[in-house]
Amino acid sequence: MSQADNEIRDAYVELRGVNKRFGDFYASKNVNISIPKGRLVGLLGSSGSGKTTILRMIAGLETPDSGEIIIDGRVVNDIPGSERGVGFVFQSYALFRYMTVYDNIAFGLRVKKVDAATIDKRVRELLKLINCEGLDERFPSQLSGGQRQRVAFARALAPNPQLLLLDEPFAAIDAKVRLELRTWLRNMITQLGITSIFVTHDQDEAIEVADEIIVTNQGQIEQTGTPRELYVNPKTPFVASFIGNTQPVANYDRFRYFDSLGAGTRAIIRPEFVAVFKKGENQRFVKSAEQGVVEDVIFRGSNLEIKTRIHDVVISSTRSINDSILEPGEPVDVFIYRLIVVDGDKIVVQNNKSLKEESVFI
Amino acid sequence: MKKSKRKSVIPGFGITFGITMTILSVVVLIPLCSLVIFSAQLSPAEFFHTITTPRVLKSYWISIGCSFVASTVNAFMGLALAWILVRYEFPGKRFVDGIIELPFALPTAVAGIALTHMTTTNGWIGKVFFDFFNIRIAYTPLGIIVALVFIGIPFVVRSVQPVLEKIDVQYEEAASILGASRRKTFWSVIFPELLPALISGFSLAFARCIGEYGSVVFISGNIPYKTEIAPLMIMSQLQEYDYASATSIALVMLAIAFVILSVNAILQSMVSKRVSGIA
Repeated sequence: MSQADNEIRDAYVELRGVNKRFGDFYASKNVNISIPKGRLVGLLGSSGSGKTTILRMIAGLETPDSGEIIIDGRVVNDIPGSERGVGFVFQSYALFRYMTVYDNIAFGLRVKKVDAATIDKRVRELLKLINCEGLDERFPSQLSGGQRQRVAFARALAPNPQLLLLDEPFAAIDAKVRLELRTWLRNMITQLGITSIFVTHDQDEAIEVADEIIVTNQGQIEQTGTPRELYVNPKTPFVASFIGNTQPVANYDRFRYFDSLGAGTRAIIRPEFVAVFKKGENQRFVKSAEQGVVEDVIFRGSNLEIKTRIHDVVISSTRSINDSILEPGEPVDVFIYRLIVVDGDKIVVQNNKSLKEESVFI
Repeated sequence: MKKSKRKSVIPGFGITFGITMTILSVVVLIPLCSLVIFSAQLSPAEFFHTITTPRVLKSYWISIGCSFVASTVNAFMGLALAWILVRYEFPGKRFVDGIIELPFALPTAVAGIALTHMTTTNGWIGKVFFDFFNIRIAYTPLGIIVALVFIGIPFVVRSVQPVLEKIDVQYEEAASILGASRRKTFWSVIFPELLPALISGFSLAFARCIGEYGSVVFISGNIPYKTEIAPLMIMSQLQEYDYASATSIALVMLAIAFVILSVNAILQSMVSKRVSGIA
């Protein structure tokens, strides 16, 4: 994102040309971010991509080597984290083990010398908000993972921060509870209207929770956009291959209705770009479909993954469990809606030419 | 213990338990029982008289008092030492870390002689204290405390150090973002984490100091009613071949040590309940 774009958006949090090095390791290379007020933003990247460093620099836990960090129009590089008006939820929550839930939540208010009655009111209010009324006398060790996460959330919110930072908020929770908490957290943050940034390596989590996703890779920002933008319109090869379930295909002009965009280019194909039909099944693409053979059928719970061999490549696609059953070895009709073609640093989305002007929905 | 027929991963509970109990009995339990048997040679009245003569009574107080003060000093010094060893990098750190155990390895008499030499009114340190503050170290209770500090320091350092190493820096970061000062963070977040280890180090040092003999006899000067420690009273009875009296006093020492270690165990279990979540 260019400097000009930053100016246009009314940013609440901004990073301008931020660099950070740990020894020889560049954790941030010329990072520019701008986040509008009230937005719920996900920093998405694989481990070591620098996403946590960005979060920690915003919180004042790390100091950038160069560049500016701006919160609410104020350059905060030299302002300690406690005075930046941020709340931070740690990956492992960092709840104080020797304090009760009540004392944990009250901690941030007590150190600010708020009077006891106000503290009590605020803590009760937060306990109610996180559905943990009655747990105030417990110690963190007596809580479930989900409860700990919510207490950590309440503790960070207690001093009324304007910006909430969450480091891998769901990483330490088991899968079932994680899904509930995602929805809960999203609703909570939307309800409170607090600007929030969370770090995650899980693209499903980022896509589901965030209004906007910032994809990081090797210390740099690859792309910023809504989950849908990243999905439909990846701007860099990294984003194209990172988001979604992707498989690379060389010599993609072997597929009908797709042209090669030059030597050295390769294509990325996602399961949702591909439709597989049983022979004789009622479908739109009878004429333009290609011939494939089912290699494998994998039951995925909510759907079936079909691996089909076509022109000597095996590509994945999904089928509903309500569709007629396909058997391995069965000849099928395969239709590819689109490909993402990677040409050096450029990305071109190529639609199946037989679709002409028809609108395609992913 | 759960009653279960399942085979444990470690083979032969029966045989390992048997070996453990045998060794424990031979090395610890039987010698301690012999203390009771020996002292039983005295009638209850004689026993009571032996352990409550004014000189012996005074020696308990000197032992307990000096040990308590020394262990308290050690708790602070040990915490500080463990802190710099864990939190800071400085040249010679590994060397310092290595010599912490020296008081364990050194014959305590050697330590006693060295410390006495240093702290008499003519010694390097003793001279400074005597000339400038008119404080005598050797041959006073202060000398005993100095010797006991030397003996007890590894207990506190080695108890606190591993716990301090394991404290996640996230706790401090969380406290600092919430606006806590460094002092507040230390007292309300780090110190509670260290407290069990500190109590345990203090208790071990305290128990060890009460029984310390070798280093103290040289520096204390053994002045009756002033600097005589309880282990010395036992030694002097032994030198008179009065085994029954010696073991009687020893029995009292044993009881004291038992109380100290029990208090420690109770405190530990109280504290660990919070963390383990078993209320």
